[in-house]
Amino acid sequence: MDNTLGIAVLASLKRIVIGYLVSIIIGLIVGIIIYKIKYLDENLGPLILGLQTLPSICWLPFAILWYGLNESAIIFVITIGSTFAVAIAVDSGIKNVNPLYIKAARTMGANGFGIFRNVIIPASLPNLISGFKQGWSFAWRALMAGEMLSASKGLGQVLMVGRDLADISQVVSVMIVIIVLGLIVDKLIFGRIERNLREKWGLI
Amino acid sequence: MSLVVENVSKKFITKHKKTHTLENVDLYVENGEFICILGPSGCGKSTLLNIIAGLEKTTSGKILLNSKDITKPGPDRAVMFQEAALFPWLRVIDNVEFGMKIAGIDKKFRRQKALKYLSMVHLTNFQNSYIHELSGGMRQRVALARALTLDSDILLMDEPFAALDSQTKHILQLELQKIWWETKKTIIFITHNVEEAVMLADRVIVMTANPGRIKKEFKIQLARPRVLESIDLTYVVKEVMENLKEEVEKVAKAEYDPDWNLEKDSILSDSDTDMGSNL
Repeated sequence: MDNTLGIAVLASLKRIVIGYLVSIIIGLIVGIIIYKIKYLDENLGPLILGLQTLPSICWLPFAILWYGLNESAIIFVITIGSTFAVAIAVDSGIKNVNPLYIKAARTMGANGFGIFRNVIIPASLPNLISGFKQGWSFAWRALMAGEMLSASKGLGQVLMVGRDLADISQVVSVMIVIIVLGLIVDKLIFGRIERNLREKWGLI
Repeated sequence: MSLVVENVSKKFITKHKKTHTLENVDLYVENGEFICILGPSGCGKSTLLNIIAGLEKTTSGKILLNSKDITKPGPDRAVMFQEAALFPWLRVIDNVEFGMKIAGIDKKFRRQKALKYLSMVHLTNFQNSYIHELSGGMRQRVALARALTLDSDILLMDEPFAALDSQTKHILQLELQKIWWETKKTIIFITHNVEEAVMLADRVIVMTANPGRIKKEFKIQLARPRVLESIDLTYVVKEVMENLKEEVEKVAKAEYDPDWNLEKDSILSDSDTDMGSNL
Protein backbone atom coordinates (compact mmCIF):
# COMPACT_ATOMS: atom_id res chain seq x y z
CA MET A 1 0.00 0.00 0.00
CA ASP A 2 1.57 3.16 -1.21
CA ASN A 3 0.55 6.43 0.35
CA THR A 4 2.69 8.95 -1.50
CA LEU A 5 0.43 11.65 -2.92
CA GLY A 6 2.12 11.85 -6.28
CA ILE A 7 1.75 8.14 -6.92
CA ALA A 8 -1.88 8.33 -5.83
CA VAL A 9 -2.62 11.18 -8.21
CA LEU A 10 -0.99 9.39 -11.10
CA ALA A 11 -2.88 6.20 -10.38
CA SER A 12 -6.21 8.00 -10.23
CA LEU A 13 -5.52 10.02 -13.35
CA LYS A 14 -4.50 6.97 -15.29
CA ARG A 15 -7.76 5.22 -14.42
CA ILE A 16 -10.00 8.12 -15.25
CA VAL A 17 -8.26 9.00 -18.47
CA ILE A 18 -8.59 5.46 -19.75
CA GLY A 19 -12.15 5.06 -18.50
CA TYR A 20 -13.26 8.45 -19.80
CA LEU A 21 -11.73 8.07 -23.24
CA VAL A 22 -13.27 4.63 -23.66
CA SER A 23 -16.61 6.04 -22.60
CA ILE A 24 -16.38 8.79 -25.20
CA ILE A 25 -15.61 6.34 -27.97
CA ILE A 26 -18.38 3.95 -26.97
CA GLY A 27 -20.77 6.83 -26.28
CA LEU A 28 -20.15 8.32 -29.74
CA ILE A 29 -20.70 4.99 -31.45
CA VAL A 30 -23.83 4.17 -29.46
CA GLY A 31 -25.19 7.70 -29.88
CA ILE A 32 -24.73 7.62 -33.64
CA ILE A 33 -26.24 4.15 -33.96
CA ILE A 34 -29.26 5.18 -31.95
CA TYR A 35 -29.67 8.22 -34.13
CA LYS A 36 -29.37 6.31 -37.38
CA ILE A 37 -31.56 3.31 -36.60
CA LYS A 38 -35.02 4.50 -35.68
CA TYR A 39 -36.04 1.14 -34.27
CA LEU A 40 -33.18 1.27 -31.81
CA ASP A 41 -33.92 4.87 -30.99
CA GLU A 42 -37.46 4.05 -29.95
CA ASN A 43 -36.57 0.92 -28.01
CA LEU A 44 -33.09 1.44 -26.62
CA GLY A 45 -33.50 5.15 -25.93
CA PRO A 46 -35.63 4.80 -22.79
CA LEU A 47 -33.47 1.89 -21.62
CA ILE A 48 -30.37 4.03 -21.81
CA LEU A 49 -32.09 6.86 -20.02
CA GLY A 50 -33.08 4.43 -17.30
CA LEU A 51 -29.61 2.99 -17.00
CA GLN A 52 -28.20 6.46 -16.64
CA THR A 53 -30.18 7.07 -13.50
CA LEU A 54 -28.41 4.18 -11.82
CA PRO A 55 -25.53 5.77 -9.89
CA SER A 56 -22.38 4.34 -11.39
CA ILE A 57 -21.10 3.18 -8.03
CA CYS A 58 -23.92 0.66 -7.98
CA TRP A 59 -22.08 -1.06 -10.79
CA LEU A 60 -19.05 -1.73 -8.55
CA PRO A 61 -20.23 -5.05 -7.07
CA PHE A 62 -21.08 -6.21 -10.59
CA ALA A 63 -17.69 -5.07 -11.87
CA ILE A 64 -15.80 -6.76 -9.06
CA LEU A 65 -17.59 -10.03 -9.61
CA TRP A 66 -16.91 -9.76 -13.34
CA TYR A 67 -13.32 -8.49 -13.34
CA GLY A 68 -12.11 -9.34 -9.89
CA LEU A 69 -10.78 -6.86 -7.40
CA ASN A 70 -8.49 -4.91 -9.75
CA GLU A 71 -7.99 -1.92 -12.07
CA SER A 72 -10.43 -3.13 -14.68
CA ALA A 73 -13.29 -3.11 -12.21
CA ILE A 74 -12.78 0.55 -11.40
CA ILE A 75 -12.24 1.52 -15.01
CA PHE A 76 -15.45 -0.33 -15.87
CA VAL A 77 -17.39 1.66 -13.32
CA ILE A 78 -15.91 4.93 -14.62
CA THR A 79 -16.72 4.06 -18.21
CA ILE A 80 -20.25 2.96 -17.56
CA GLY A 81 -20.92 6.11 -15.55
CA SER A 82 -19.95 8.33 -18.43
CA THR A 83 -21.01 6.42 -21.55
CA PHE A 84 -24.73 6.94 -21.23
CA ALA A 85 -24.42 10.66 -20.71
CA VAL A 86 -22.27 10.92 -23.83
CA ALA A 87 -24.56 8.69 -25.91
CA ILE A 88 -27.65 10.67 -25.01
CA ALA A 89 -25.90 13.97 -25.73
CA VAL A 90 -24.71 12.69 -29.12
CA ASP A 91 -28.19 11.53 -30.09
CA SER A 92 -29.91 14.74 -29.04
CA GLY A 93 -27.10 16.88 -30.43
CA ILE A 94 -27.48 15.40 -33.89
CA LYS A 95 -31.26 15.56 -33.75
CA ASN A 96 -31.19 19.23 -32.84
CA VAL A 97 -29.11 20.35 -35.78
CA ASN A 98 -31.09 23.03 -37.60
CA PRO A 99 -32.47 21.30 -40.73
CA LEU A 100 -31.90 24.54 -42.64
CA TYR A 101 -28.14 23.93 -42.45
CA ILE A 102 -28.55 20.52 -43.99
CA LYS A 103 -30.78 21.90 -46.72
CA ALA A 104 -28.24 24.60 -47.49
CA ALA A 105 -25.39 22.10 -47.60
CA ARG A 106 -27.32 19.86 -49.98
CA THR A 107 -27.96 22.70 -52.38
CA MET A 108 -24.21 23.31 -52.41
CA GLY A 109 -23.61 19.76 -53.53
CA ALA A 110 -22.77 18.03 -50.26
CA ASN A 111 -24.23 14.63 -49.50
CA GLY A 112 -24.08 11.72 -47.09
CA PHE A 113 -20.76 11.64 -45.33
CA GLY A 114 -19.82 15.11 -46.51
CA ILE A 115 -22.84 16.56 -44.75
CA PHE A 116 -22.05 14.53 -41.64
CA ARG A 117 -18.46 15.69 -41.49
CA ASN A 118 -18.93 19.31 -42.55
CA VAL A 119 -22.29 20.18 -41.07
CA ILE A 120 -23.67 17.75 -38.52
CA ILE A 121 -20.56 17.35 -36.41
CA PRO A 122 -19.67 21.05 -36.08
CA ALA A 123 -23.33 21.99 -35.67
CA SER A 124 -23.86 19.53 -32.83
CA LEU A 125 -20.57 20.34 -31.12
CA PRO A 126 -22.05 22.58 -28.37
CA ASN A 127 -24.42 19.78 -27.37
CA LEU A 128 -21.63 17.23 -27.58
CA ILE A 129 -19.30 19.24 -25.37
CA SER A 130 -22.00 19.63 -22.76
CA GLY A 131 -22.49 15.86 -22.88
CA PHE A 132 -18.75 15.28 -22.54
CA LYS A 133 -18.69 17.59 -19.56
CA GLN A 134 -21.55 15.76 -17.91
CA GLY A 135 -19.85 12.44 -18.63
CA TRP A 136 -16.65 13.70 -17.09
CA SER A 137 -18.44 14.69 -13.93
CA PHE A 138 -20.04 11.24 -13.65
CA ALA A 139 -16.69 9.61 -14.38
CA TRP A 140 -14.95 11.65 -11.69
CA ARG A 141 -17.53 10.70 -9.08
CA ALA A 142 -17.38 7.06 -10.09
CA LEU A 143 -13.59 7.16 -9.81
CA MET A 144 -13.64 8.52 -6.28
CA ALA A 145 -16.34 6.19 -5.07
CA GLY A 146 -14.69 3.21 -6.70
CA GLU A 147 -11.30 4.00 -5.22
CA MET A 148 -12.70 4.56 -1.78
CA LEU A 149 -14.38 1.21 -1.77
CA SER A 150 -11.89 -1.03 -3.43
CA ALA A 151 -8.64 0.45 -4.65
CA SER A 152 -5.11 -0.49 -3.72
CA LYS A 153 -3.77 2.96 -4.60
CA GLY A 154 -5.11 6.27 -5.74
CA LEU A 155 -6.65 9.40 -4.26
CA GLY A 156 -9.81 7.75 -2.96
CA GLN A 157 -7.81 5.08 -1.24
CA VAL A 158 -5.49 7.64 0.38
CA LEU A 159 -8.62 9.38 1.63
CA MET A 160 -9.81 6.18 3.28
CA VAL A 161 -6.40 5.51 4.80
CA GLY A 162 -6.52 8.97 6.32
CA ARG A 163 -9.81 8.04 7.94
CA ASP A 164 -8.43 4.74 9.19
CA LEU A 165 -5.46 6.53 10.74
CA ALA A 166 -7.81 9.20 12.18
CA ASP A 167 -5.58 11.74 10.39
CA ILE A 168 -7.84 14.62 9.50
CA SER A 169 -5.03 16.62 7.94
CA GLN A 170 -4.45 13.81 5.48
CA VAL A 171 -8.13 13.61 4.71
CA VAL A 172 -8.52 17.36 4.15
CA SER A 173 -5.34 17.66 2.12
CA VAL A 174 -6.46 14.89 -0.22
CA MET A 175 -9.83 16.61 -0.58
CA ILE A 176 -8.04 19.80 -1.58
CA VAL A 177 -5.99 17.92 -4.16
CA ILE A 178 -9.17 16.40 -5.57
CA ILE A 179 -10.78 19.84 -5.80
CA VAL A 180 -7.74 21.34 -7.51
CA LEU A 181 -7.57 18.53 -10.06
CA GLY A 182 -11.26 18.92 -10.79
CA LEU A 183 -10.90 22.67 -11.25
CA ILE A 184 -7.92 22.27 -13.55
CA VAL A 185 -9.84 20.03 -15.89
CA ASP A 186 -12.99 22.16 -15.74
CA LYS A 187 -11.30 25.48 -16.28
CA LEU A 188 -8.34 24.66 -18.45
CA ILE A 189 -9.87 22.05 -20.67
CA PHE A 190 -13.64 22.35 -20.78
CA GLY A 191 -13.62 26.04 -19.97
CA ARG A 192 -11.35 26.79 -22.88
CA ILE A 193 -13.34 24.70 -25.33
CA GLU A 194 -16.61 26.27 -24.23
CA ARG A 195 -15.25 29.79 -24.46
CA ASN A 196 -14.02 29.04 -27.95
CA LEU A 197 -17.45 27.77 -28.98
CA ARG A 198 -19.19 30.72 -27.40
CA GLU A 199 -16.97 33.13 -29.35
CA LYS A 200 -17.91 31.51 -32.63
CA TRP A 201 -21.58 30.89 -32.04
CA GLY A 202 -22.26 34.05 -30.09
CA LEU A 203 -23.65 32.85 -26.77
CA ILE A 204 -24.93 29.41 -27.47
CA MET B 1 -28.75 27.25 -70.19
CA SER B 2 -32.48 26.68 -70.22
CA LEU B 3 -34.88 25.71 -67.48
CA VAL B 4 -38.20 24.09 -68.27
CA VAL B 5 -40.89 23.46 -65.70
CA GLU B 6 -43.10 20.95 -67.44
CA ASN B 7 -46.65 20.39 -66.22
CA VAL B 8 -45.61 20.19 -62.60
CA SER B 9 -48.16 19.27 -59.96
CA LYS B 10 -47.61 18.74 -56.28
CA LYS B 11 -49.99 17.32 -53.78
CA PHE B 12 -49.32 17.05 -50.09
CA ILE B 13 -51.23 14.21 -48.51
CA THR B 14 -51.34 13.96 -44.75
CA LYS B 15 -53.60 12.01 -42.44
CA HIS B 16 -56.00 14.91 -42.01
CA LYS B 17 -56.07 16.54 -45.38
CA LYS B 18 -55.00 16.60 -48.95
CA THR B 19 -53.56 19.86 -50.29
CA HIS B 20 -53.25 20.48 -53.98
CA THR B 21 -50.36 22.88 -53.74
CA LEU B 22 -49.36 23.10 -57.37
CA GLU B 23 -51.39 22.24 -60.43
CA ASN B 24 -50.11 22.00 -63.97
CA VAL B 25 -47.45 24.66 -63.68
CA ASP B 26 -45.56 25.34 -66.88
CA LEU B 27 -42.66 27.72 -67.03
CA TYR B 28 -39.80 28.40 -69.36
CA VAL B 29 -36.80 30.39 -68.21
CA GLU B 30 -34.24 31.73 -70.64
CA ASN B 31 -30.59 32.31 -70.01
CA GLY B 32 -29.89 35.54 -68.14
CA GLU B 33 -33.52 36.27 -67.30
CA PHE B 34 -34.70 37.64 -63.99
CA ILE B 35 -38.02 36.02 -63.14
CA CYS B 36 -40.11 36.99 -60.13
CA ILE B 37 -42.80 34.69 -58.87
CA LEU B 38 -45.43 36.63 -57.03
CA GLY B 39 -48.37 35.31 -55.13
CA PRO B 40 -50.33 35.33 -51.89
CA SER B 41 -49.16 33.26 -48.94
CA GLY B 42 -49.73 29.59 -49.41
CA CYS B 43 -49.88 29.68 -53.18
CA GLY B 44 -47.09 27.20 -53.51
CA LYS B 45 -44.38 29.52 -54.75
CA SER B 46 -41.87 28.27 -52.19
CA THR B 47 -42.86 24.71 -53.01
CA LEU B 48 -42.21 25.40 -56.67
CA LEU B 49 -38.79 26.78 -55.83
CA ASN B 50 -38.00 23.79 -53.64
CA ILE B 51 -38.95 21.49 -56.49
CA ILE B 52 -36.71 23.34 -58.94
CA ALA B 53 -33.94 23.25 -56.32
CA GLY B 54 -34.39 19.50 -56.02
CA LEU B 55 -35.28 19.66 -52.34
CA GLU B 56 -38.73 18.23 -53.05
CA LYS B 57 -40.15 15.87 -55.63
CA THR B 58 -43.08 16.51 -57.91
CA THR B 59 -46.24 14.48 -57.76
CA SER B 60 -46.33 14.65 -61.53
CA GLY B 61 -44.50 16.57 -64.21
CA LYS B 62 -40.82 17.29 -64.36
CA ILE B 63 -38.12 19.90 -64.32
CA LEU B 64 -35.55 20.00 -67.07
CA LEU B 65 -32.32 21.92 -66.70
CA ASN B 66 -30.42 22.02 -69.99
CA SER B 67 -32.69 19.17 -71.11
CA LYS B 68 -31.72 16.96 -68.19
CA ASP B 69 -34.12 15.80 -65.49
CA ILE B 70 -33.65 17.25 -62.04
CA THR B 71 -34.04 14.88 -59.14
CA LYS B 72 -31.84 16.19 -56.35
CA PRO B 73 -30.24 19.41 -55.13
CA GLY B 74 -26.88 20.53 -56.42
CA PRO B 75 -24.57 23.48 -56.98
CA ASP B 76 -25.91 23.99 -60.50
CA ARG B 77 -28.98 25.48 -58.83
CA ALA B 78 -27.73 27.68 -56.00
CA VAL B 79 -30.33 28.65 -53.40
CA MET B 80 -30.72 31.66 -51.14
CA PHE B 81 -33.13 31.11 -48.27
CA GLN B 82 -35.18 33.58 -46.31
CA GLU B 83 -32.94 33.09 -43.28
CA ALA B 84 -29.39 33.27 -44.46
CA ALA B 85 -28.58 29.64 -43.55
CA LEU B 86 -24.98 30.53 -42.84
CA PHE B 87 -22.97 28.28 -40.54
CA PRO B 88 -22.30 29.86 -37.14
CA TRP B 89 -19.16 27.84 -36.51
CA LEU B 90 -17.40 29.26 -39.56
CA ARG B 91 -16.06 32.70 -40.26
CA VAL B 92 -17.63 34.73 -43.04
CA ILE B 93 -14.87 33.89 -45.49
CA ASP B 94 -15.11 30.17 -44.70
CA ASN B 95 -18.86 30.31 -45.18
CA VAL B 96 -18.42 31.85 -48.60
CA GLU B 97 -15.86 29.19 -49.47
CA PHE B 98 -18.01 26.30 -48.27
CA GLY B 99 -19.52 25.35 -51.60
CA MET B 100 -16.15 25.39 -53.29
CA LYS B 101 -14.63 23.31 -50.49
CA ILE B 102 -17.29 20.65 -51.05
CA ALA B 103 -16.55 20.73 -54.76
CA GLY B 104 -12.89 20.05 -53.99
CA ILE B 105 -11.53 23.29 -55.38
CA ASP B 106 -8.03 24.05 -54.13
CA LYS B 107 -7.34 26.41 -51.26
CA LYS B 108 -5.71 29.38 -52.91
CA PHE B 109 -8.17 29.52 -55.74
CA ARG B 110 -11.08 29.24 -53.30
CA ARG B 111 -9.79 32.13 -51.24
CA GLN B 112 -9.32 34.33 -54.29
CA LYS B 113 -12.77 33.67 -55.61
CA ALA B 114 -14.43 34.07 -52.21
CA LEU B 115 -12.76 37.45 -51.75
CA LYS B 116 -13.85 38.53 -55.21
CA TYR B 117 -17.52 37.91 -54.48
CA LEU B 118 -17.26 39.19 -50.94
CA SER B 119 -16.02 42.49 -52.32
CA MET B 120 -18.89 42.50 -54.81
CA VAL B 121 -21.27 42.58 -51.86
CA HIS B 122 -19.04 45.10 -50.07
CA LEU B 123 -18.19 42.96 -47.06
CA THR B 124 -14.43 42.51 -47.40
CA ASN B 125 -13.78 44.08 -44.02
CA PHE B 126 -15.87 41.43 -42.31
CA GLN B 127 -14.25 38.37 -43.80
CA ASN B 128 -12.93 37.15 -40.45
CA SER B 129 -16.05 37.86 -38.43
CA TYR B 130 -18.42 35.26 -37.15
CA ILE B 131 -22.02 35.22 -38.31
CA HIS B 132 -23.54 36.37 -35.04
CA GLU B 133 -21.63 39.62 -35.38
CA LEU B 134 -23.46 40.53 -38.58
CA SER B 135 -26.82 42.21 -39.06
CA GLY B 136 -29.61 40.56 -41.04
CA GLY B 137 -28.82 42.50 -44.19
CA MET B 138 -25.13 41.66 -43.96
CA ARG B 139 -25.92 37.98 -43.54
CA GLN B 140 -28.00 37.94 -46.68
CA ARG B 141 -25.16 39.61 -48.55
CA VAL B 142 -22.80 36.87 -47.38
CA ALA B 143 -25.37 34.29 -48.45
CA LEU B 144 -25.51 35.96 -51.86
CA ALA B 145 -21.72 35.91 -52.19
CA ARG B 146 -21.74 32.26 -51.23
CA ALA B 147 -24.39 31.46 -53.82
CA LEU B 148 -22.45 33.33 -56.51
CA THR B 149 -19.22 31.38 -55.89
CA LEU B 150 -20.99 28.20 -56.93
CA ASP B 151 -21.06 29.42 -60.54
CA SER B 152 -24.47 27.87 -60.82
CA ASP B 153 -26.56 27.78 -63.98
CA ILE B 154 -29.39 29.40 -62.12
CA LEU B 155 -29.83 31.24 -58.81
CA LEU B 156 -32.97 30.51 -56.81
CA MET B 157 -33.99 33.06 -54.19
CA ASP B 158 -36.78 32.33 -51.73
CA GLU B 159 -38.01 35.68 -50.38
CA PRO B 160 -34.45 36.55 -49.37
CA PHE B 161 -35.24 40.11 -48.29
CA ALA B 162 -38.55 39.40 -46.56
CA ALA B 163 -37.10 39.38 -43.06
CA LEU B 164 -35.21 42.65 -43.43
CA ASP B 165 -36.23 46.16 -42.46
CA SER B 166 -37.39 48.28 -45.38
CA GLN B 167 -34.28 50.47 -45.65
CA THR B 168 -31.92 47.51 -45.78
CA LYS B 169 -34.31 45.82 -48.17
CA HIS B 170 -34.21 48.77 -50.50
CA ILE B 171 -30.42 48.89 -50.51
CA LEU B 172 -30.16 45.18 -51.17
CA GLN B 173 -32.65 45.39 -54.02
CA LEU B 174 -30.51 48.00 -55.72
CA GLU B 175 -27.37 45.95 -55.08
CA LEU B 176 -28.98 42.81 -56.43
CA GLN B 177 -30.04 44.64 -59.57
CA LYS B 178 -26.46 45.79 -60.09
CA ILE B 179 -24.93 42.37 -59.38
CA TRP B 180 -27.39 40.67 -61.70
CA TRP B 181 -26.53 43.16 -64.41
CA GLU B 182 -22.81 42.51 -63.97
CA THR B 183 -22.86 38.72 -63.58
CA LYS B 184 -25.66 38.08 -66.09
CA LYS B 185 -26.96 35.30 -63.87
CA THR B 186 -30.33 33.66 -64.45
CA ILE B 187 -32.42 34.31 -61.36
CA ILE B 188 -35.75 33.04 -60.08
CA PHE B 189 -36.88 35.26 -57.22
CA ILE B 190 -39.85 34.49 -54.98
CA THR B 191 -41.55 37.37 -53.28
CA HIS B 192 -44.89 38.70 -52.16
CA ASN B 193 -43.74 42.28 -52.51
CA VAL B 194 -45.07 43.71 -55.76
CA GLU B 195 -42.76 46.73 -55.96
CA GLU B 196 -39.73 44.51 -55.44
CA ALA B 197 -40.90 42.16 -58.16
CA VAL B 198 -41.59 44.86 -60.73
CA MET B 199 -38.32 46.64 -59.99
CA LEU B 200 -36.12 43.59 -60.37
CA ALA B 201 -37.78 41.31 -62.90
CA ASP B 202 -37.90 40.88 -66.66
CA ARG B 203 -41.03 38.83 -66.16
CA VAL B 204 -43.38 38.77 -63.20
CA ILE B 205 -45.42 35.63 -62.80
CA VAL B 206 -48.53 35.91 -60.66
CA MET B 207 -49.72 32.69 -59.10
CA THR B 208 -53.10 31.68 -57.73
CA ALA B 209 -53.54 29.88 -54.47
CA ASN B 210 -55.32 26.62 -53.77
CA PRO B 211 -54.46 25.16 -56.11
CA GLY B 212 -51.30 26.95 -57.15
CA ARG B 213 -51.45 27.77 -60.83
CA ILE B 214 -49.91 30.43 -62.97
CA LYS B 215 -52.48 33.13 -63.29
CA LYS B 216 -50.81 35.72 -65.46
CA GLU B 217 -47.41 36.62 -66.76
CA PHE B 218 -46.36 40.26 -66.97
CA LYS B 219 -43.48 41.22 -69.21
CA ILE B 220 -41.86 44.21 -67.52
CA GLN B 221 -40.41 46.40 -70.20
CA LEU B 222 -39.25 49.32 -68.11
CA ALA B 223 -35.77 50.61 -68.80
CA ARG B 224 -32.97 49.67 -66.45
CA PRO B 225 -31.59 50.57 -64.00
CA ARG B 226 -34.94 50.88 -62.29
CA VAL B 227 -35.72 52.78 -59.11
CA LEU B 228 -38.70 52.25 -56.84
CA GLU B 229 -39.63 55.94 -56.94
CA SER B 230 -40.15 56.12 -60.71
CA ILE B 231 -43.69 56.84 -61.90
CA ASP B 232 -43.53 54.26 -64.68
CA LEU B 233 -42.75 51.62 -62.12
CA THR B 234 -45.63 52.71 -59.94
CA TYR B 235 -47.95 52.38 -62.90
CA VAL B 236 -46.89 48.85 -63.65
CA VAL B 237 -47.08 47.99 -59.96
CA LYS B 238 -50.68 49.12 -59.94
CA GLU B 239 -51.52 46.84 -62.86
CA VAL B 240 -49.89 43.84 -61.27
CA MET B 241 -51.38 44.59 -57.91
CA GLU B 242 -54.92 44.60 -59.34
CA ASN B 243 -54.27 41.16 -60.65
CA LEU B 244 -52.79 39.97 -57.41
CA LYS B 245 -55.54 41.50 -55.29
CA GLU B 246 -58.08 38.94 -56.37
CA GLU B 247 -55.85 36.15 -55.17
CA VAL B 248 -55.04 37.90 -51.90
CA GLU B 249 -58.75 38.30 -51.27
CA LYS B 250 -59.37 34.63 -51.95
CA VAL B 251 -56.76 33.57 -49.44
CA ALA B 252 -57.98 36.07 -46.85
CA LYS B 253 -61.56 34.92 -47.30
CA ALA B 254 -60.46 31.40 -46.53
CA GLU B 255 -58.84 32.60 -43.32
CA TYR B 256 -61.44 35.15 -42.27
CA ASP B 257 -65.19 35.09 -42.89
CA PRO B 258 -66.43 34.40 -46.38
CA ASP B 259 -68.03 37.83 -46.57
CA TRP B 260 -64.78 39.71 -45.89
CA ASN B 261 -63.93 42.18 -48.59
CA LEU B 262 -60.64 43.98 -49.15
CA GLU B 263 -62.17 47.35 -49.95
CA LYS B 264 -65.21 47.38 -47.76
CA ASP B 265 -63.59 46.12 -44.60
CA SER B 266 -60.34 48.04 -44.57
CA ILE B 267 -60.35 50.80 -41.98
CA LEU B 268 -59.47 53.60 -44.39
CA SER B 269 -62.67 53.20 -46.33
CA ASP B 270 -65.19 55.54 -44.75
CA SER B 271 -68.47 55.92 -46.59
CA ASP B 272 -69.25 59.29 -44.99
CA THR B 273 -66.34 61.05 -46.67
CA ASP B 274 -66.65 59.35 -50.03
CA MET B 275 -68.56 61.64 -52.33
CA GLY B 276 -68.59 59.17 -55.14
CA SER B 277 -65.63 59.57 -57.47
CA ASN B 278 -62.98 58.96 -54.78
CA LEU B 279 -62.98 62.62 -53.76
